Amino acid sequence: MRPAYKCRTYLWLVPALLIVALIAAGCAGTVPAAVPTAASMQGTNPTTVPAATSVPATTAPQSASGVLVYAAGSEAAGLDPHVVLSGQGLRVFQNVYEALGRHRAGEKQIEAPIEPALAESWTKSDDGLTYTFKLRSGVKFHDGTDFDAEAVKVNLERIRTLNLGPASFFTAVDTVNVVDKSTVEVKLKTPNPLFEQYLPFTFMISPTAIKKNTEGDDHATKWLSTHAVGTGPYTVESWDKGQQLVLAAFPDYWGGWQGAHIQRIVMRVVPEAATQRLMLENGDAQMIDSVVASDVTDLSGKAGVQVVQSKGLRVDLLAMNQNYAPLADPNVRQAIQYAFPYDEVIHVAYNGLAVPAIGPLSVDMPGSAKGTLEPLKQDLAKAKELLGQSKFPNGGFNLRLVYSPNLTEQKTAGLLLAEALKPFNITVDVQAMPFAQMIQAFGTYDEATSPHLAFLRASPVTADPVLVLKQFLHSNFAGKLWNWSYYRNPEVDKLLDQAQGESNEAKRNELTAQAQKMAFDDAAYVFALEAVEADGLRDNLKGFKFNPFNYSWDVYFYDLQLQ
Amino acid sequence: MISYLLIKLFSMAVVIFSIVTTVFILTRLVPADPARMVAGLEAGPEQVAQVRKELGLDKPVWEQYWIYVRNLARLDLGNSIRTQQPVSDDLERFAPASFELATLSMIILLVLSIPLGILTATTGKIADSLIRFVAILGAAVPTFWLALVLQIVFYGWLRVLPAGGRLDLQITPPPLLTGMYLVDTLAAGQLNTFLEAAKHLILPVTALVLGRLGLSVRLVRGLALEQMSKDYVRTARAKGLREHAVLYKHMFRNTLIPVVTLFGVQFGYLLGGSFLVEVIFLWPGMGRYAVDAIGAFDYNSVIGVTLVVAIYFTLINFLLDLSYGLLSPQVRRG
Repeated sequence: MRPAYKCRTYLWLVPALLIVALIAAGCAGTVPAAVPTAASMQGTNPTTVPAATSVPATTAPQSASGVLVYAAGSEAAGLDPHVVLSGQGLRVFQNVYEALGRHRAGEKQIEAPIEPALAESWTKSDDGLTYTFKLRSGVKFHDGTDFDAEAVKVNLERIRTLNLGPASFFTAVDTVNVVDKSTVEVKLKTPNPLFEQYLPFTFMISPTAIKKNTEGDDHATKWLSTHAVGTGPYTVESWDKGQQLVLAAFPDYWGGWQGAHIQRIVMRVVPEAATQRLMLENGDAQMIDSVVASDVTDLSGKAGVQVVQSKGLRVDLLAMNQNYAPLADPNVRQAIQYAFPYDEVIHVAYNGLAVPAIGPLSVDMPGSAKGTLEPLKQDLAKAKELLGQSKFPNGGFNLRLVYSPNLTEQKTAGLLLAEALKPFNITVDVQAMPFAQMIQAFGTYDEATSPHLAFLRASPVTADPVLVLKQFLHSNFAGKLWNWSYYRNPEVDKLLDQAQGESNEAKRNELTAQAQKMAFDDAAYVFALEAVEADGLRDNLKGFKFNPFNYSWDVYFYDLQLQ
Repeated sequence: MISYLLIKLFSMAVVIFSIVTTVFILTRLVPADPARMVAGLEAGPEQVAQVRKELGLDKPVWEQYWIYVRNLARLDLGNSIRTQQPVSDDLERFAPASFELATLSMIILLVLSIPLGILTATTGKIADSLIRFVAILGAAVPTFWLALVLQIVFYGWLRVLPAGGRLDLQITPPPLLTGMYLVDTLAAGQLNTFLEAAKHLILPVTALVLGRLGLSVRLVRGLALEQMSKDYVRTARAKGLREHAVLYKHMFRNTLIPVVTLFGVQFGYLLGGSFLVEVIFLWPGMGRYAVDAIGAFDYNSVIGVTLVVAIYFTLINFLLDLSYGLLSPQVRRG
């Protein structure tokens, strides 16, 4: 009896000691384990993470050096650039794949936004229907396949067949003809003066890889969602979903590796902005994608850290759902437009990282209403007067305002608006709602549940101003895409349709400015502000250029250097 | 014993099936259009309609449900709406990380709270009040916040522990066996990688355990006090056994049975809590996967996560049931 009892008494100690030992060992292991050398890395067992490309490991280009750790809030859903277009996806695509043209980074990026990439040059026929592209020669895909006119045809046709992601940009394409090995001709059904703006979305995938990995009629979408075979400077070395995606220099890149370039890019998923900030301060990340507005001042003062503030092209506006009787009254909408606390929202909600706006288009965009319109200031007396002229002179209605749960500035702005409208006997309920649900809620109106107000971010993907304006102001898009106000004005529709086919830029800009003036006077939205974007970098990272298109997601890692 | 097992297994199946059904209905009740998210933000209405058709979301809900259940019977969880990849592939990747975190936290919680609970029940007032204070503190502080503070102190200021992740970036994960790195590294004999994985577990496990420790200690304390007032304890003392022997030989096992039951429930909290902790500590588990899936209304992924958690939770509880079947013979006939 006695030995058994003794044994059982102390039994619980065994796991306890084990745990203590484990923790102690973990702590003790800090010093040697925290700095794994290249030698120790090679010493570990073969990786279980499959290399995402079929390219055999080659020796690194000599002049490329260093590892850039980029901490991002989320990751790409998939690697197929013809399937999903999202910010995080584009940040990978742009470095692994290349397109016929790309967004110019740095100077003149708005005046002449497209620069040649895989196409060296192109010409447009007089009728605006035929584009002839002269392709760059000596370009190889990561799997060794040559890039040529046939590859362009295969890819443009794949985009149109899949009819996903970027396909909506290319609906005007009629046929793609191979003229010779380095010349390709694209014919459009109707002239689109802004066709060039979409060239950055013609990402080219190796036709060999598409053919080899097609299963049934999937056009290799399954394989390409986790593999990437492009012509870009980097290959996808590994992708550990939910953790990190590693890009490695492609030795045979046509641009060569002379000069300073970064060898590897580790795109690490770090969802919390607070953690990203710590990693940047500690030097464990050289670049982060979420700098909270309230952190900007504090973070700028830290040693080794730089915060690059750039005025982009994003406009944050407040949609006012006209299905709701009070908001169908233009006087009520105008009253809200004047009651909106612009200054407070910019300084309190956005921590000063914003400037007043005049329309869905930033003043820096071609075709904006700059010169025609001036930003509004809060004017409560005028708001009272306008409300007095409406069908609801004494207020007495509720407004449901929804915001994306992760965008706290929208919440604060909503609360500030609620405060401003209180004296008018208008109650604003501010509620969080996931974006996917908002899309549905604004798509079909339900009197009892549908929200009435929501903040939207108007961020141009391309330099095509008409595309942005149509999405927000054209009656064809009422309840679809971004016209969540259900704004319908036949004259605005006409102006925008005219603008789309107008090849004379000055004339086109006049038409778009006119349309915006009308929308502004009708109080289609509250055009709240233009946001200033902040990027957090280590100060030894050089060559960073802000690019306002693609929702500000453009970063060409090949252009960066680590010092 | 076999009929006991069969009944348990059957009830497990019923529970899991009900959960799948409930979650299926719940996800469909929320008005949202995942097809719109898949088609891309710039997609036109025709594109969205095409995607909706391809995803089968244009069918009536009962038909979608029937298709789902039929596939489930073949162990097919469907494809993720966002990534177009089988949900089972994603879960295979993310679930072990969550289970490793929750299971290790559970073990540590058990190992700490049982002796501490008995200690507070039997020793003087000071130790009792101290532990009670820590208990209330732990219960009052949100796990999410605690995790952030731990990260700021141990990673941001002291720099002794990593910010997060399961391993350092440069270290290769162990060959896949269970997906739980502590187990896999030991199985492969990679001691260095094991230590590295352990080091990465310290902060998330601490955050999880501290959040639940107070409550658990109080539970054990209550149960131990209850046992102490029982006749058999008085008898043991009366026959002159040392206090030590009374506590650990007689009381320990009797206290253990209700404790085990309660910890089965605790495990659910740990899994739920680990979802929040995962976000802070870059833990590539189901928590973050679930958050992303919910945000995009990725129905199949959401149901998949719920299903796996439900299975793991019922399985752990099943094992605990069995264990008190072993601890107490009456239960086996129950």
